[in-house]
This record gives sequence, C-alpha cells and structure tokens, in this order.
Amino acid sequence: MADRENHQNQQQDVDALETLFAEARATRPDTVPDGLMSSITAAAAAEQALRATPTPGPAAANRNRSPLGLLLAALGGWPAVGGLVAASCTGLWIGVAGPEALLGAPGLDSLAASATVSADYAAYETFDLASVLAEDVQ
Amino acid sequence: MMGFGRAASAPAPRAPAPAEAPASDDALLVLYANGDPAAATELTRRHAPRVLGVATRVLGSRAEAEDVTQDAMLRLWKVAPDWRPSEAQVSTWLYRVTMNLCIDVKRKARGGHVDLDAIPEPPDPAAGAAETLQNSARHDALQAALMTLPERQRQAVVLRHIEELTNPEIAGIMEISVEAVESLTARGKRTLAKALAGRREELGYQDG
Repeated sequence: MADRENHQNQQQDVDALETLFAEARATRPDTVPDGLMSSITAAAAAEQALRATPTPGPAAANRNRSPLGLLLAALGGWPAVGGLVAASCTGLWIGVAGPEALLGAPGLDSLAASATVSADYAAYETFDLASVLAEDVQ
Repeated sequence: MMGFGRAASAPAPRAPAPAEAPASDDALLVLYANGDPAAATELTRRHAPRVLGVATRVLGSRAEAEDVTQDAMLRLWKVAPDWRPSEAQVSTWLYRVTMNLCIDVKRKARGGHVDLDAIPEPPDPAAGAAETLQNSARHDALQAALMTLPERQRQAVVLRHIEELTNPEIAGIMEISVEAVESLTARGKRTLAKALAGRREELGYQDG
C-alpha cells in the first residue's frame, strides 16, 4: 500500500516536472531586448568594417621608403647587406695585405706551415704577373 | 538582326514565381561576410533569442546570459568569412559556443579550475524572493531546481526538455556520446523531480 502511494507520488512529481518544462518552453524569449540587439549588430558592423579596411601591401609599403631603404630592400634586407659587407671587407683586406697575410691568418697557420705550400709559394714569390708578361713580350 | 532581336527578347513563358523563400542561415552568413549589413540583423533576429533563452536557463542570471549572447554572436561574425556550410548548422554551432561560454562564465565565477560535474550549485537566493504569484513561483521553482544540478546535467536537461533537441543533437553540441547524454538527462530529471517533490501544493499541483 505504501509502495503504491510512493509510486503514485513519484509519478505526480514527474508529471509536475513535465508541466514545468512545458511552461518553460512556452515562455522562451522570441526576441532580445533592444539594447542587446543594438550591441550585437554594432559588433557585427565593426567586424565588417575591420575586414573591409585594406591591409597595406608591399607596393604601399615601398611608396614611403627612402632611396636607401629601397636599395636595402632590393638587396634582400639587412642580413644580406651584412654578408655583402663582410665579403667586401675580406676582399679588400686580401688585396691590401697580400697573400702572406692570408696564410698567416688565424686558422690557416697549419696551411702556412705546410712544407709543400711554403716551397711552392717560395718558387713564385719573386714573380709577379707584370714581369712575366714583360718577359713574354721580349 | 531580327532573328537576334527575337531570340534575345522573347523568353519562354514561365509560371508565376512563388513567394520568395527566406534566405538560409548559410546564405546570410555569406552575405554578411561580403559586407551586407542587413544580414547581421536578420541572423541576430533568428538566433539571438534562442541563445539568450538557453544561456539564461543554464546560468540562472539574465545579465550573464546577455553577455554570453553578445559574445556568442560576435564569434559568429568572426567565423563568417571561413564558414563551411557542410560542417555545421548555424543553430547547432551557436548552441555549442553558448554552452562553452556558459562553462567559462561559471569557471571564472569560481575563480579556478574546478570539476564542474562534481559540485552542485546552491539555489539562487533571489529565486525565492518573487514567489508571490503562482506562475512566478513555478518559473522560479524550476530555475531554482535546475540550479541545484551539476553544470553538465543542467545543460543536457535544458537542451533536451526546454530546447527540445534530440539526444544525437545534444551529443554533438556537448561533444559527448549519446549514451552520456541519456545518462545526464535521466539523472538530472530524477534530481529535479525530487527537488520539486515537497512543493506540489505550493506550486499548484494537488495530490490525486
């Protein structure tokens, strides 16, 4: 008897819950407040405007550059220019200081100390291209 | 020349066009992404009320629900240019975003990383304050009972019994299995029924 009453009560609780759900479904909002609507559509317009603004491309970026900046860009930027300067300085140094200085440079000591290289070099150290050419002409 | 003119100016007779069907959500998103301002208004009109309703039920706070609604719609605007119609429906996508935003709100309110399923929430103290009319009492009673459920149970119950979504739809939104949805809704309903058991007379549901 108590079980039956208990079961009946449970069924009533479930029915009551179903009724509450039905009322909740019936009272769902079908609009949003004007203020919220305005905020949402304003955010939508702002997002559209953000995407509509063209991002500056490479041409636009070059338009404002100085001639030095353009040259730098054409060479490939600062890293490329760094390499170019290093290579130029090395060439200049070799040209001014001569091959002896190169052979005495740090890291090339073993090359300079090599008997073969020293002997080969010794054989030609008194020659230069101008004197050889002069002898050929004679 | 005449032949050309006739061919160009004499379209085949056609039946009168039916009333123009409303643009689909996907079409409106494309229009929005292409800069049409009216598309956003129409999408908001269609979807924001549902987002607001479900967020209010899940959060138990209208102010927080409005914030979530605004945030969810903003995410829709942001995703519009990359929207792929074949992958999701706008409504389903919004439900998923809304549920995740609701979890974020609750997590922030707790101020840390807490297992949301482990801790039932206390009933909203404000919920009982307006129980002067029976309808209001019923409304508040359901909301108060919902707020006693763990977060994921509440989400599943709201999506199933108030939003009337199918279990597979809810599974997709909550990113869990259909069986897990069934378990969450069954447990949630049992807890709700118990929570409301002592209030039959108060809410106008007489025995027998």
